[in-house]
Amino acid sequence: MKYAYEDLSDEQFEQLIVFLCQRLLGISVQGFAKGPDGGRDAKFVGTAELHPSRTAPWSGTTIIQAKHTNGYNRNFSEPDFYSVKSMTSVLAKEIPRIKKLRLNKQLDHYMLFSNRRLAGNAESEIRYYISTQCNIKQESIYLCGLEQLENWLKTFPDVPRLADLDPVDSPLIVSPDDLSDIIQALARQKNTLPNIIDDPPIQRISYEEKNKINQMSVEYAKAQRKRYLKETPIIRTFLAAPENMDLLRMYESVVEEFQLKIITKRKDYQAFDEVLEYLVDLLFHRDPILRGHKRLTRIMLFYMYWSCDIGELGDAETD
Amino acid sequence: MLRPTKHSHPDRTVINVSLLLLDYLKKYRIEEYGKLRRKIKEKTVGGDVLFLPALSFLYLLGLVEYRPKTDAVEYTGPDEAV
Repeated sequence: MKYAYEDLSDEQFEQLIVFLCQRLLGISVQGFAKGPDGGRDAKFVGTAELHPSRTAPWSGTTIIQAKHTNGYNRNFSEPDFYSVKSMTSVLAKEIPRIKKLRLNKQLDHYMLFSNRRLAGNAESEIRYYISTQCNIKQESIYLCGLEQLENWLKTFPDVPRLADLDPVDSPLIVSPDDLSDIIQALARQKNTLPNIIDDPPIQRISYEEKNKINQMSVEYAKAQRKRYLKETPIIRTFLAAPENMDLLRMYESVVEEFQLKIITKRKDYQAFDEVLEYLVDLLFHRDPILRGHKRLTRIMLFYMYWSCDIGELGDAETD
Repeated sequence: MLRPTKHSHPDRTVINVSLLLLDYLKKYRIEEYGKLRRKIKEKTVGGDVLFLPALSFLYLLGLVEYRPKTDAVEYTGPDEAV
């Protein structure tokens, strides 16, 4: 794969699709600002230049939707994206919006781009599904997966440059590999770890003060403390165990990566709640082991914050 | 493991286990390897993991010797009683 699409932000991916569609349909493809989009990321009205072919191009209103994921190796037929029964899958949520646009005569053709793999069978099935649900002809629906996206970008090599896929602008992305090893080991040893009463000689600041410095909201901080503080001794004991030396090294490399990425990628206005929730989502999306131990992963992130391995300034005290 | 870090527990470090070993060996002068290991394991959590590094540490400081014939560890440091 030429581009690490999963490392892009949603906005960057949308931008890429808009530029690509300007090549396929016409220069007047219109992208929209961030916010409620009513089921459209971009729109084109008129006769397409190239799509689906020069001899029989689409004519009318084409609605373009980009669905980006941070996950690796995802595909269109995963239940969180498409499932006939599910009411919460990405497509299930999209269908009413398409229907509405169709009813208001604001949609003749529909294009869906995603950085997921798209197999032939899934393509036919999903196309048929959208067609029957929204009353759009099958030939007016186009689904584009990862493989086809790669081909398009090879055909139009200037598109990624136009979309300004600058790695410096990419969102806060961290690697979950080491953390998943720690969580797996922790999950194995959790019940066998003895409780050790510890009184570490560290200068502490109050939790409230720490939250203020890090811009964490009062409600979020309270909820975090209520749920996860009682669990932190497990992690402390686990990391202090001499037999877990290698895991401690891994933990240290994880917090180093998290902390440095947070410092560089965090915008001034972002609350720490958002940063933590974003990290959690990212980790769950990317790693099946972390997804299998959601609570432990959250406890681990809280521990990192609590002991000031991530976030700013000294360790937070209990009250 | 030797130097304490932010995450290490003071009781579960090579230094602490070395201290326990030294304390015991100064008292009894010589002790069977297996028995010594058991003693340390009883005294501190994770002691079995730290036992060998602590013993090596004491050997490097010239405070203990291993006697292969009897499979025992002997205190060879300065004798404060003399």
